[in-house]
Amino acid sequence: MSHGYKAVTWTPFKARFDRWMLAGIGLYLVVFIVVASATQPPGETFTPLQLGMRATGTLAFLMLTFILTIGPLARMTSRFKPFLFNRRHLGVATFTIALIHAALVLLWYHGFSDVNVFVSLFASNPRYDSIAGFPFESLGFVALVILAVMATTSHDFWNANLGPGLWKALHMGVYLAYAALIAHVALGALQSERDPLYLAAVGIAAGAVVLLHLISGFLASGAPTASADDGNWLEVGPFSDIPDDRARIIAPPGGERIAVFRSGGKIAAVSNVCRHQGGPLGEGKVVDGCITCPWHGFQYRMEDGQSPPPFTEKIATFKTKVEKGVVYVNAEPNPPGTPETPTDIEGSFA
Amino acid sequence: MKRVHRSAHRMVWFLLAPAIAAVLWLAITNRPGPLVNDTLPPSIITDEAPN
Repeated sequence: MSHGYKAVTWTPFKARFDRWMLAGIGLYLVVFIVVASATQPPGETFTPLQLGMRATGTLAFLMLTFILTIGPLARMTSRFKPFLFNRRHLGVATFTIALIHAALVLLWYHGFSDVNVFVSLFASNPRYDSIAGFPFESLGFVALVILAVMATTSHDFWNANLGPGLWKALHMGVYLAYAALIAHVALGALQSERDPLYLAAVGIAAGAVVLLHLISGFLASGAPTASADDGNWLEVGPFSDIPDDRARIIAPPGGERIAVFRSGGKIAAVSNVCRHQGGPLGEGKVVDGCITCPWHGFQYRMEDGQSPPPFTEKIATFKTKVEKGVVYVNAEPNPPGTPETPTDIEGSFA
Repeated sequence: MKRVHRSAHRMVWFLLAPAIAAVLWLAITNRPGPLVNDTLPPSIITDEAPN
């Protein structure tokens, strides 16, 4: 959160996650190289460099595919929330693997001539009008540059200085990087690999990412739109429909969404947009009396929308009321950090 | 997520989905056949029995 500067904040959970991630990466590379060495077609001998190239290339593809499925899957099941919480570390690891892949490619295919490796990369194959012979390396380069920008700006320093809106827009470039990566693989490896397994793997991966994001976009647009009465009160629904320590998200006409939380017999409403990266607070839960963002764990007190000290973030609060068991929220937001006493559910029956 | 980002996200995927499908389809349908070395001359050794 906003208190002080630390290069990387490793909580015990994040440290454990990173150890498992590094172990998984190492295991994949070793297994790939051992299996590929043992199953080489007769008459072909791959050098260690070529094996490393293939192992890192396939791993970067699989990791980026997995990263892009985390967001939509976390919206559908809470089992993926821990991955959402650690997605940035996965992203930086993916960029590092992709960078190693690119370095091996440059070394093996372009490093043995007098020509600069980058000139060789872009000028040795000018067949941009061909599909089967397309210089697919350039597409991989585009994806790598986007991943580099994202990895470099992944730290909260950049999020704080660029602002959450611009930072988020910049990091949506990952979708373009994935499209470039699919084209890189389809016009490269899939042109020479005859094994249908590769084709099926790429097709399933791309299909899963596209479908999950389309479904997720559809689900995200499904928050009930409430209409306000004369007093600007929006009906949220029966309090019994809101699970304890969770929220119901409603969309006021023309405004940002509101997250209405229920916790310990009380109702409180805040803006659904986290100050950190715009995460959907209403998909998070109440932990130790604080609304906790599902993306990176930023917290806000239910009673005033302020992060607990020493942190300084604030979000808008809203007036709430409960009448005959039905929750209402006032569509007019209070200034961020304004105290607003949570409504007592029991009191509504008095 | 802010409304503007939700809209941008939906728009990006409605554009990228057909683009990715088109690239995959073009790549698959234009794959070269198995490599055949047609630069070699026809076989000069035959199994025909000598007269």
